Amino acid sequence: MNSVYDYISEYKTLSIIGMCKNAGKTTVLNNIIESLDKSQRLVGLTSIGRDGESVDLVTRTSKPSIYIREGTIIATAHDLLSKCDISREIVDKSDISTPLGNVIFVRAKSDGFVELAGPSITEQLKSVSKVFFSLGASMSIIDGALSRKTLCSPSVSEATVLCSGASYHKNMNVVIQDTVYNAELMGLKKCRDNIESDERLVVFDKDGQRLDMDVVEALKRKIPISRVFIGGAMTEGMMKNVLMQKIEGIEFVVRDSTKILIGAESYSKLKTRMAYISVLENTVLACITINPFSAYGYDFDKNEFMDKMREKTSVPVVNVLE
Amino acid sequence: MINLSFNQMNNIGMRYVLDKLSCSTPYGEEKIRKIKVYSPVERQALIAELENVSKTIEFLPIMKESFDKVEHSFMCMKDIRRSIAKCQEVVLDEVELFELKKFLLQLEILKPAFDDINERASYNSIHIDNCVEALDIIDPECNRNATFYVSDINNKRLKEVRNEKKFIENRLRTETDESVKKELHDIRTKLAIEQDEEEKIVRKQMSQALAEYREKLEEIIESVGKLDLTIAKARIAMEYGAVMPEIADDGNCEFVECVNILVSDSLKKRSRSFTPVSIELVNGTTVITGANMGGKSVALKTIALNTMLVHVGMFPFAKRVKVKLLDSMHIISEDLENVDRGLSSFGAEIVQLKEVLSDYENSMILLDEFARGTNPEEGALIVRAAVMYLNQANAYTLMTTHYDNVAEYSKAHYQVWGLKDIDFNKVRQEINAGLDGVEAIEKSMNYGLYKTDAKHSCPHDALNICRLLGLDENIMKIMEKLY
Repeated sequence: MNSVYDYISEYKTLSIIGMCKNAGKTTVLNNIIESLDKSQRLVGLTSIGRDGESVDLVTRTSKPSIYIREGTIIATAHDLLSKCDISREIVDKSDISTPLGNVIFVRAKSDGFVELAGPSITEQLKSVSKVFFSLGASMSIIDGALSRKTLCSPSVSEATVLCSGASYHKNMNVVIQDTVYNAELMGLKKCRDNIESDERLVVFDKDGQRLDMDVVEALKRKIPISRVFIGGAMTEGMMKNVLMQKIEGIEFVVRDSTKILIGAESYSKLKTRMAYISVLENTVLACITINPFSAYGYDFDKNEFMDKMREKTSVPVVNVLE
Repeated sequence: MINLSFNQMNNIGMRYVLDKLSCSTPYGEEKIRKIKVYSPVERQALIAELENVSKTIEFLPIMKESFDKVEHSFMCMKDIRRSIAKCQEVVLDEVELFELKKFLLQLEILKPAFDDINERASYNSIHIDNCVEALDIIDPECNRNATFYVSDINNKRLKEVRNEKKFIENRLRTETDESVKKELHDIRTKLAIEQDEEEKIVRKQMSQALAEYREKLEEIIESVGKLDLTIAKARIAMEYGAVMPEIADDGNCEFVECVNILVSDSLKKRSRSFTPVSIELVNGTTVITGANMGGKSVALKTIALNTMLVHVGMFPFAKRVKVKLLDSMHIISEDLENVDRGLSSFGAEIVQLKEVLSDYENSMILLDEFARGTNPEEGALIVRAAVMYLNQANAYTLMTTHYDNVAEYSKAHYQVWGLKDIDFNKVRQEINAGLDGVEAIEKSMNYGLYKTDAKHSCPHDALNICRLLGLDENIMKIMEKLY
């Protein structure tokens, strides 16, 4: 059976996103770190905001810590250095500030546990990856979170691992449905043309010409539309009126999947009305990981969970505990 | 010491000059923020500072490589003063030691480059040295990497703990039995805690040893800041063509072709040029009269700015400047702050004048259209009285005014050329051809000053300006009749 590493080894920048707390994200990360070490690859590691506490600050359940190998480079906040029990070589102090002090680059002179709190701005995450590579890392991994998934946009990481688990919801079907929905958004096709515009909304007619008109107004006037470019986020409020019109065949273009903020219900309405979404920049969803154990006293049957998940998506699914 | 308010600094263009200064180190930046203003008793120090600027201007172009090295080194410097100040009392953490090490490594690069320059320039009171002794404390293994790792070379126990920990970590890598793994992790945690404690002992020893070099390092930092600021002062002087001022003991203050770069830069953006201001200030009152829109206030600001520049150890933007070091500078103009307080503009001026008259010994007093807000007869009277009074004072007073019969009481009188020599018909044609009236007048205006007989009365260009700006024909006719 394939491990997570088999699906991610070819990428230089990777983000790991959990559907919820206790989805098994850190276990996945530790697995990847171990595999990278076995293939003697140097890795740079940071997180979006704070992550990696040994006790979950939200649910107070104990959770695994990130255990890194000698040679790994981490970028974490100054105040968390004392909580990292590796032998530390301070390599650089960045100008990126966090509530826990500036982000510091540290080379691990031994194996050990680390706590990470990295930048929370896209540009800063990119600059951190650059420093990792300049220090000899062959892969940069960003420990992310679904609530901050906009920061795992394609400009920051080439590929993403989506971690899902029983902790998300006690109803397995809900877990699967929402996970698959997120996976589907991440797997959206790239728009054939590159649209360069700073505008919030651009409507194109069926000949590809720009219409100086709001999308709802154009639809009401029954002007044939081929494409709608949304420069910012695609929100429920914006799509509510659109979904009441006839939208068959229309391509909605967003910058990347993290800009889609509509729920699964609206998305399925859009699909049943034969419209579709494409993105300007797409990330690769390398695989989905599942954790059948929850932190709340109930567990799923691991085989049933795996089979049902695989049935609904073409993305590879891996059980983190196997 | 000259002490201008924030608004006044803004107004005369001093803030603009300070914003244009660009230092590379946090130490230099701080020196710009808290710019040192020299008082007459600090004459020697000021001259030393001005000489440093002069030397930099001389050697910057011919020793470019060394200066580049110095400035590159400057750019890598972070502010470590807090770490130095507290290393006696507290144990520095690893990031603080890292920054100190980086600073000390920079000094190793900076010193030879600076020595190279200083051999020829021999700067006054700038002493940049390295501090190998301090570097050896932080980097006892002498690896001189720009990273920091608590060395175990002088702590046997730390070395042992690290080795034991490493042994456990290696076992953990291969161990598969969960219960054995847990046991190993427990041992590892204990060792990690001990490692932390031992590292702290080493850091404490380092911190205390470093404290001995606190004074030396602070002196070096002071010199780094000084040199950084001196280079910034030199660069702006070179950019705008400034000159080494002459510091006089007494006598007149001379200003030859002075420029106010705040005004000249903004004119440049509109493709127009600044007319330099030349004036000699006597002890007593000097009056500038002249046309509206003739740049009298700009002349005043230009003198204020360039006088101020000398007092902060910068070259004035001029062909030649001779000034006496002053105890204070007073600028009285329509002060919005006081008007906001509910005073009329006239009331605000009188309040300011009252303050000035309580302390004007060895000062420069600049009055811009004083008493313009009151009725012309009384206004002229007040101004005349002020001129006569300030003639007796040990101060350089420069005043612009519109009022007639003021200049004759002054010790020196300058007039703006203004529209004296222009061909009104030509300007009118230009306006008729579509040129904006204000622009046409600005174009034809001669902003230069000339010294004139004190008896000479104010020029009367107001009527001409009204005509050129295209004031209604009917009102013009009435005005002409009244003249």
